Amino acid sequence: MAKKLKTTVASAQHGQETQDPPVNFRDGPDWNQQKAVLQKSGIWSRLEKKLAKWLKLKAENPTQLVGNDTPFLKSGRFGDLFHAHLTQDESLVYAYDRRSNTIFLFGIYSHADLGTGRKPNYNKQDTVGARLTSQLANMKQNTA
Amino acid sequence: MRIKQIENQWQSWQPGTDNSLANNDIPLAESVDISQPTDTVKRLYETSADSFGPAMNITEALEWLKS
Repeated sequence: MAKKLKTTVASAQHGQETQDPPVNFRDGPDWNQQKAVLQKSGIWSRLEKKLAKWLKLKAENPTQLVGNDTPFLKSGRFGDLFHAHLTQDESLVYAYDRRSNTIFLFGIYSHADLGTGRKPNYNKQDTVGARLTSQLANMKQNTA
Repeated sequence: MRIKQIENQWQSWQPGTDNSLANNDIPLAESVDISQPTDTVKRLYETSADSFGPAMNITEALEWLKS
């Protein structure tokens, strides 16, 4: 009886897994520009491998925080965005939408790009944060 | 076509020698306020500047990463 129950639970869990929609990824309007900058500086190839590993882990479990994968401070300018450090300086900025099971990839930014270095640049944070959060808001509005 | 025609006329124009633009009956969009973008231009800008790429599954995303 216990064995039968266990099998039923396992089947139900398996059924749940197969019903979950697969994780989708979408690149933001700044992605290509950011990538070109990194290619020009010669560090893209190193980041590409780390990014591929990050994508695979996120595809399996989009809510799992991978490595130095952390939300921005709620009190800051970046709203619900997350950043995952690929190197000590470069972070992938992304957002996860649970409803559509989609990860939105904004770009890979350095501390200087985001104004989040040891000496914070709040003007930079305001500018970049406003742009990225408005991109996400526009996208959500257009796909609602 | 009209724009090309006007461009050609401007390029061939010499001060004090020709008055072809004034003689030509081409409306120069005098009723359009170019200081303000039209709704069409706004939509074009929004969809091109603030839109995300198509949804990709993990296989497509890994291919996209290499591209």
